[in-house]
Amino acid sequence: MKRATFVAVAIFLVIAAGLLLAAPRFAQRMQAGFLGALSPFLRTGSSLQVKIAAFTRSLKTLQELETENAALATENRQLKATYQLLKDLEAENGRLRGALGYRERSKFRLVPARILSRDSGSWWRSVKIDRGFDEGIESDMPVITDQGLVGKTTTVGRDLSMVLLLSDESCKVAALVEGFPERGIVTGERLASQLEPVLQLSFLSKDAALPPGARVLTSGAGGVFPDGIPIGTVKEFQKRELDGRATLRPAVDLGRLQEVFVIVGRKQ
Amino acid sequence: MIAFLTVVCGMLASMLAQDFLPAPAALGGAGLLLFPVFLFFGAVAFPYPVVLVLAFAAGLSWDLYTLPPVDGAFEIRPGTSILIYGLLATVMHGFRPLFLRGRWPVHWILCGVFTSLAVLAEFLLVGYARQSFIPFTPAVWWRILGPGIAAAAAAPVVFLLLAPLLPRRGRHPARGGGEP
Repeated sequence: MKRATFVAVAIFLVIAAGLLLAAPRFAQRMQAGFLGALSPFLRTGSSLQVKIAAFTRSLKTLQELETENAALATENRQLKATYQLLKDLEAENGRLRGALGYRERSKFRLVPARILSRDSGSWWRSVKIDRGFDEGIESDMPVITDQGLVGKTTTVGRDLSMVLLLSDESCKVAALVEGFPERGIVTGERLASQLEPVLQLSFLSKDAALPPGARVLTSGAGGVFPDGIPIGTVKEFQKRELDGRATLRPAVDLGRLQEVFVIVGRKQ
Repeated sequence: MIAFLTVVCGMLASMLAQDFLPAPAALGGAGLLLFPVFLFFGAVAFPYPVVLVLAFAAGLSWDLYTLPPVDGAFEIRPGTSILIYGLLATVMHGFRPLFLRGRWPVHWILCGVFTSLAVLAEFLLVGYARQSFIPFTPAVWWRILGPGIAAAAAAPVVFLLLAPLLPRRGRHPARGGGEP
């Protein structure tokens, strides 16, 4: 081995070992700094993605109009395109109004945030949102929508945070089943699908026999998630040798999230 | 120098871009991993010390970008991917003579194989950290092989775009010899 190569390998191993042995707090601070540096690029990427999606939608509309209404005049096509645009705006307006209403009705102090990107890794399910400690967000704060629980914040940068989704196997939430004396722990799956994830409610009693559609809410145990937030509904109950386990359909469509709220405290 | 900086920028840009690309249903819902293709291109295009710098940047960036800390601790320590990608890039560097002779299809396939190996390593580490290994079902295989197939498909484009940036003698040592 050449001397330069030997020195390079030695330096590589020493620095890698140093990082591996670093305290988790230091690593998390480094992660927050790194995500902060990437924040402008993620924001640009996110807005580009929205524009491309809108462009594709408009192309599809024109194509459909061409095939379905070949005989219609140009003016008619323009009117339909305008109608489509207005419908999109109306849907967006409705969604934002709903979110605003929920924010005002909620007993929590909520910070609204937009999803910037979704983790492309195979074994983790997380998203990055466009709010950070500038807005009072800290680690381990619950993230919700008006429909229910989304997950919790992990690493928080100045204007960007990482959110561990409920569908991730390592996100554990203490839960109860509405109308039943059953409590358990909800987790995601290691192979959770990005679009249609399912959740598992474990440590139920063997004879719980939960019916499909039963609502599962946060129990408040553990201190991270406040009680009473919808997590999902029972899809299927399985009786196992020692306990019972239910498969849940998440209350929130985790695959198509656009806006979320971070709970930063309770209203006075 | 221009080639090195382009590879580093390409690596970071693809790491961000792959988050905006939907998981193709044809690959069993597996996410796309494109940044390793840039690393593996660098592994055959540059001298070994430079390869280590690239592997370090790739591994550290990937860990900081994706590993979610849970309850204040990381289940896989940030920096682990430095060793994984360092090892894979070292093996890839062994195929540099073939690259210099222009036998690139071998490297395109290797890009896919090594990307899948990196995902497999993550799978084993997650299983070890969580003290629970899930069986190798077809869904797991797709999660491991899918990113590799996508990387192998993207490799020709990346190689053909980046190779012209290399010094001529670096591409064909027989005509000018040696390291770029």
